Amino acid sequence: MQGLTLGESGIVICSGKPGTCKGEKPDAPVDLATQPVLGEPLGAGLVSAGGSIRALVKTVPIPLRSQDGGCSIDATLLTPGAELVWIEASGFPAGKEATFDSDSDGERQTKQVRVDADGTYSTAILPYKQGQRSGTIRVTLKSTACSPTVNLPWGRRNSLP
Amino acid sequence: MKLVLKESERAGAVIKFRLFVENLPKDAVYSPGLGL
Repeated sequence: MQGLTLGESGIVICSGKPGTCKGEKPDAPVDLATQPVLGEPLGAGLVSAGGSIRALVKTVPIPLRSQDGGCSIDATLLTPGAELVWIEASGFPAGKEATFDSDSDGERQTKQVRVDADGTYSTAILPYKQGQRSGTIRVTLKSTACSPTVNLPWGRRNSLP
Repeated sequence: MKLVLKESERAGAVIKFRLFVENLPKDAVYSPGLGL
């Protein structure tokens, strides 16, 4: 789709004027349809003719998030089948040790990690278990103050709840 | 400049978003980046 312009409220439209895209009606808003899975990010952007103006946005329509005692943990898919997943945690006691625990259908890994000075911790994980085509991984970051857990299906397309 | 995705419709597993911008020139013509 080419020829996008901006409406009064800043909405991206197909105005239907010469040199712009044409929608169902004049100044038709552009709808971005998606069928997201849990934790799957959605990105969009606009680039001006000539490329001098660029703007990008990313969101996770159905976030995989857990909260506990002021802490939170988010899982974001980096590949469609969740072969690689980004874990972001925030709100943890700053600079303190925490226990990172993952359990992929019985394949368990535990390690001690140090939370950053801003109370965040992030890492990438590989949820797949050898010999299985799909499953669920349970990820917990446990501190003295909180212990949020996310359960992430992997290896199959996981539709809306 | 800032881009914002706002959910406009949800039907079954399909979610529709509309894209809003702040502080971009309104007289320019744009092409889509990711996802559009």
